[in-house]
Amino acid sequence: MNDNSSIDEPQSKLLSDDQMDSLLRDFFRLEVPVELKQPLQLRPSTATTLTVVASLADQPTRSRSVRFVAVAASIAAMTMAVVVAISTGNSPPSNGSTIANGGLNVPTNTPNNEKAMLVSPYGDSENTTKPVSPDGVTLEETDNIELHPQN
Amino acid sequence: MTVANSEQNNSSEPDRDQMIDNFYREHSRELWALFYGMCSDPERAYDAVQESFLRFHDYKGEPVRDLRAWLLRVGQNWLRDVARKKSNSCRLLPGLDDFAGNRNSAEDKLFLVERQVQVRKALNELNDDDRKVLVMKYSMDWSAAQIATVMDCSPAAIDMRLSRARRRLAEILVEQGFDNE
Repeated sequence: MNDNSSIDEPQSKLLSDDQMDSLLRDFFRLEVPVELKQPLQLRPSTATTLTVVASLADQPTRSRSVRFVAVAASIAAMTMAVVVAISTGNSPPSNGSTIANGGLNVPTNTPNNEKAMLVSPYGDSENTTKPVSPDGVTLEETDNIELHPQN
Repeated sequence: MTVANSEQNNSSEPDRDQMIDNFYREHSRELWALFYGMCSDPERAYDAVQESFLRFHDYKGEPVRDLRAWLLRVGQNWLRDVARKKSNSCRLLPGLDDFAGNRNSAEDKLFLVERQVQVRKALNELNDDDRKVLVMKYSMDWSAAQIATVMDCSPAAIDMRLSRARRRLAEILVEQGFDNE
């Protein structure tokens, strides 16, 4: 008995033709967009407004991209500066020569180049005749000194 | 329904706009119903109507002999493209923006929205011809004779098909657990 009633249940729930008719009328009354009842908006004035809005909307995007590039460039420059500072921080500064060389360390043969000395007599004519040591020896004279290993 | 607008390109812009406007008033509802029959989505069908009219507005090619057929083809193609892209991700919930200023309570509104969704889903389960017949009958309030012209069959056959489609829809709704109370 119960089984029969459960089988018949879907059939009893089935809407009649009139009910379906009413349901579908209500359904499509809500389904049709309200905008369809309004006239079509294709006037040139609308198009112009849209163009103006579009071009105005483009401007912030462009300035934003320029700003982004500027920020990226400044971050890159700062990073480069930090890297240079770290790399030069490991070795003692050499009279600003690192900065003058564009951040590149020029390898030198002298281990301690704190006091760079001009050794060529033709490099600086004034210094060649001036004494370079407390005992009055000039650069010209130092060129003539012959060094021999001591045994 | 056929519009002989072979002089559309020669006519001035305001005249052409007026012609499009008149055609829209006359046929937009029908086009919407036909598009709706294809996609079962009221918003998308409306977008297809807008898209087809917008494309005709910008169209500068050969004169269009049958504007209704032209718009239908453009709308159909647009719907196909959209279906291919499956751009469902950012759709609004149906009727959610109607909550404001509505005299119905939120519960009533929710019930209506739920019922719309269920019937829409059931309509989608029907075969194409049954769905088209129901859409033409209820969204445009066409007579069996008018539908018969479009469907290329007799009014009696349309009446039979309508009855059968309603019955089938009722069965699908019961299967979905639809409650009409």
